[in-house]
Amino acid sequence: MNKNYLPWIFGIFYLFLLAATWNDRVDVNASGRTILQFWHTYNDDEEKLLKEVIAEWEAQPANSNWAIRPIRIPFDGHKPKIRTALTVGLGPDFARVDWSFVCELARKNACVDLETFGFSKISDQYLSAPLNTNRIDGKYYGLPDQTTCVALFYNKTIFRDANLDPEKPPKTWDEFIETAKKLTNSEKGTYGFGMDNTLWWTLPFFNTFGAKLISDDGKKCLLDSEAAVKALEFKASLFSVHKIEAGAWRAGAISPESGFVNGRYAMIFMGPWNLPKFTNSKLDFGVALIPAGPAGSSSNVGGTNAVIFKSSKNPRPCYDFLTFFTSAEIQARWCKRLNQMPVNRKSYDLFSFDDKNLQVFMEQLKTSVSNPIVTSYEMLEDVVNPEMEAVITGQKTAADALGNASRKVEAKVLSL
Amino acid sequence: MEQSSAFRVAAFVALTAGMVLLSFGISGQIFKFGSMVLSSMTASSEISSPTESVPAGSSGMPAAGDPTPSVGGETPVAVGSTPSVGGGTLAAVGSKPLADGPTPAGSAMVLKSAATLRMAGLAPLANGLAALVSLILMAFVLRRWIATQADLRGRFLKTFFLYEALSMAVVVVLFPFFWMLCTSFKPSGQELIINEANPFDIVPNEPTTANFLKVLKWDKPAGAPVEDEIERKKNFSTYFLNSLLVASTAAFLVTLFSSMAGYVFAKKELPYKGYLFALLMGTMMIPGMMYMVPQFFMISKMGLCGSKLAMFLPHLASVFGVFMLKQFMETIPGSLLEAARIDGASEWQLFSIIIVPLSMPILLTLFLLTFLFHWSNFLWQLIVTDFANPLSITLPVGLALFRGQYTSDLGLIMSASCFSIVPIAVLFMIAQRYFIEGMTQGAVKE
Repeated sequence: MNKNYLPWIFGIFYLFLLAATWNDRVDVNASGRTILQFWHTYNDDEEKLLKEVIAEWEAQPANSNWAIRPIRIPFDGHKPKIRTALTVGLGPDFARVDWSFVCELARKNACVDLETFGFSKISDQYLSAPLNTNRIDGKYYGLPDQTTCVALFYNKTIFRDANLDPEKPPKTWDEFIETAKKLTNSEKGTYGFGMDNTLWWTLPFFNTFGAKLISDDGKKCLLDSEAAVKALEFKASLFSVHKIEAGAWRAGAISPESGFVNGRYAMIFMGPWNLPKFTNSKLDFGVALIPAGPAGSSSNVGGTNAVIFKSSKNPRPCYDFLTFFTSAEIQARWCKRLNQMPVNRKSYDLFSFDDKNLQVFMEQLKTSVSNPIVTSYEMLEDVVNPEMEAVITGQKTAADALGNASRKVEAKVLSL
Repeated sequence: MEQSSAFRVAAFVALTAGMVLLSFGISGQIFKFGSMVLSSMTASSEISSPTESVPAGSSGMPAAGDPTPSVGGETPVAVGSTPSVGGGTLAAVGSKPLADGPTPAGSAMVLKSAATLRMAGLAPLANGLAALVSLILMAFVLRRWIATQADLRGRFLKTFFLYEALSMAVVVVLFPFFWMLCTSFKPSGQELIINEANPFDIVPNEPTTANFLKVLKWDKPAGAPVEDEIERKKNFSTYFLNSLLVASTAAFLVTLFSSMAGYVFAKKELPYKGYLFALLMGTMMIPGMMYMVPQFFMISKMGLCGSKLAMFLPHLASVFGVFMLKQFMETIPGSLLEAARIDGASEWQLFSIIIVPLSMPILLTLFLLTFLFHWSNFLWQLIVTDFANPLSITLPVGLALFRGQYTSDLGLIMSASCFSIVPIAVLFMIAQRYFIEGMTQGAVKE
């Protein structure tokens, strides 16, 4: 008889596995304080500093009743996680969410209007672009806790090879085209510019042309305005007329980030988050403001906001912590240590970066404009992106495409 | 005849050249990978990850604090037999950041140099071994070619071509996995860089094991303050074991329940069997996403949120499994069961002695499919995970923790992915044997 040992091996292995993972409870040492759950999406380095800040806040005599427990959730999936947790009452007291998520939470009545705590007294201290991503129907439902924007990255080595001064990046769109033409060498496969074609990455174009995409009351889509059409025409011409853009937006093409690291694209839009990565890759690069258009230099805004949920029994201490966390001193320390942009205007006077490139982003944020605020930003992207692509590939004129997009946005997105 | 033999020689030379190129390329990469693993393991085991040294460097003194002693300790080991050359290179690497001013990358670069230098030292060995492999292969092929009779050489060439084409296919299939392995050894910031001189050379020249150490939380120096229990448990080995338990339990139970139900639907009489089965099949029309929210409500009402049971409990009833097994079991002849009944077999014996062994291949297929489903079931496991308790985090969810809003730490994701493919590969290798065994069972009567 041939004996089969494999099931036994599996069985024993399974028993070991069961023994190793049986215990699924972790005891948290109780301190007698009321616990406030804070769901965040910070990475390791940020989390370490966050815990320091929390410890400082808890040490203040006024906060002796509260203990904040930071809980990390994955950024990919933080939206469904928060939605589902809130529906069954397992949500946190407050959370850090993507800037585009605040509107949905506010309109679905999930988070607290900060005016309850007198937010208008301190709202001036925040940079307007990130702050206004929290302004829904005239009220503030969250406060910015981290912000970014994109600026123009350029490869100094390619500038030198083309006999351009690497310390003089283009300042206006006209200069930009002129410079990029000198940097483009389609035979060698190097291009002056590589761009993405999603709405968020196109906002710098719209903003430098002074185009507003959604009206203040959130009822009308202004994508078909004259300024927006001009901005998109200009963007499309970089690829189709001036031939200085590599087509990096096409599916399967080399992405702007990858093309920049490998010296294929001389200039790209990118945010400060990739600065350490590019520095580690020994690339000789610089950062400049987005070239100025009719409305001057401007950019988009990214980052996260912090909201307090209505289901929280203790919203007040949550608010106190968030204001402490975004206060000028803490922000200055946080940003200096982690090379990030402060959300608090007053922090600008307290510190400066040694890295000139980071300083450029600080400058850029002052002129950044808040993004379009809609209930489902993903849906807005889904509607607008194909229309923009049709313009670049020459299937539609910018006016046609944006008129079409505007109607669709009003029917599908603004009606939510 | 003359012409065709000349053509054969030409084809042979071309194929041999292709083989040498291929084997040199492949074995070169494999040996380089081996030398990389060796040098990174031995050189950088004590060094904390580069990202952690960045704040220390940016605060003014590039070589201040903790990293310095470990570098000093490593240098003599790394330099080894050629002290003058090694020392010179190290000094050159060290002085570059100083010339540019104290950049954050400075200290990280000095840290990496030990492994890089050692790898550079091993490079001739790796290349030599690769050349040796190609030479041996070439000699082998040449001997066979000479030993083959002239009229059989056409067939020889065909086989040769077939083997070469198959090797190419293997390379294409395994390349992504090799790339993943290589990326997991790359330091942060260099994951996307392509080697300009040779785009197929994907093994990093500056290897680091920091990614693996960080993923497993082994990167804390021994003297560091002991963190609390929760932080310590938040590592990939916990997630891995959790996922293994969830996926294997679910796969076993689904296979068990489906085989019982499939047996009843295939071989037993029961009133309205056809309608019942049709009703069951009807539920397959509804997309699985629709069940998610109700299932989540039920799980949270039961108070199971964050437990391992919640990860698979709603998925234990698998209509697809019942359907698949029923279709298979219907092909088992009923006379077998009758014969067993006459011999006095009980119902349980019928099931366990006749039905289960005969359906082994299909049971294993279902087991594998269910295992895979639970191994990578991100969304459901995400919403039932209690993130306050790292013991409830599973692998797909743990992997997602490495991705940020705009940046992903590719090195970390890749090194974590290396762990996640292991059980699947092992299962497939074991099951494949049984699969074929089951398929051929009873095919031949002797």
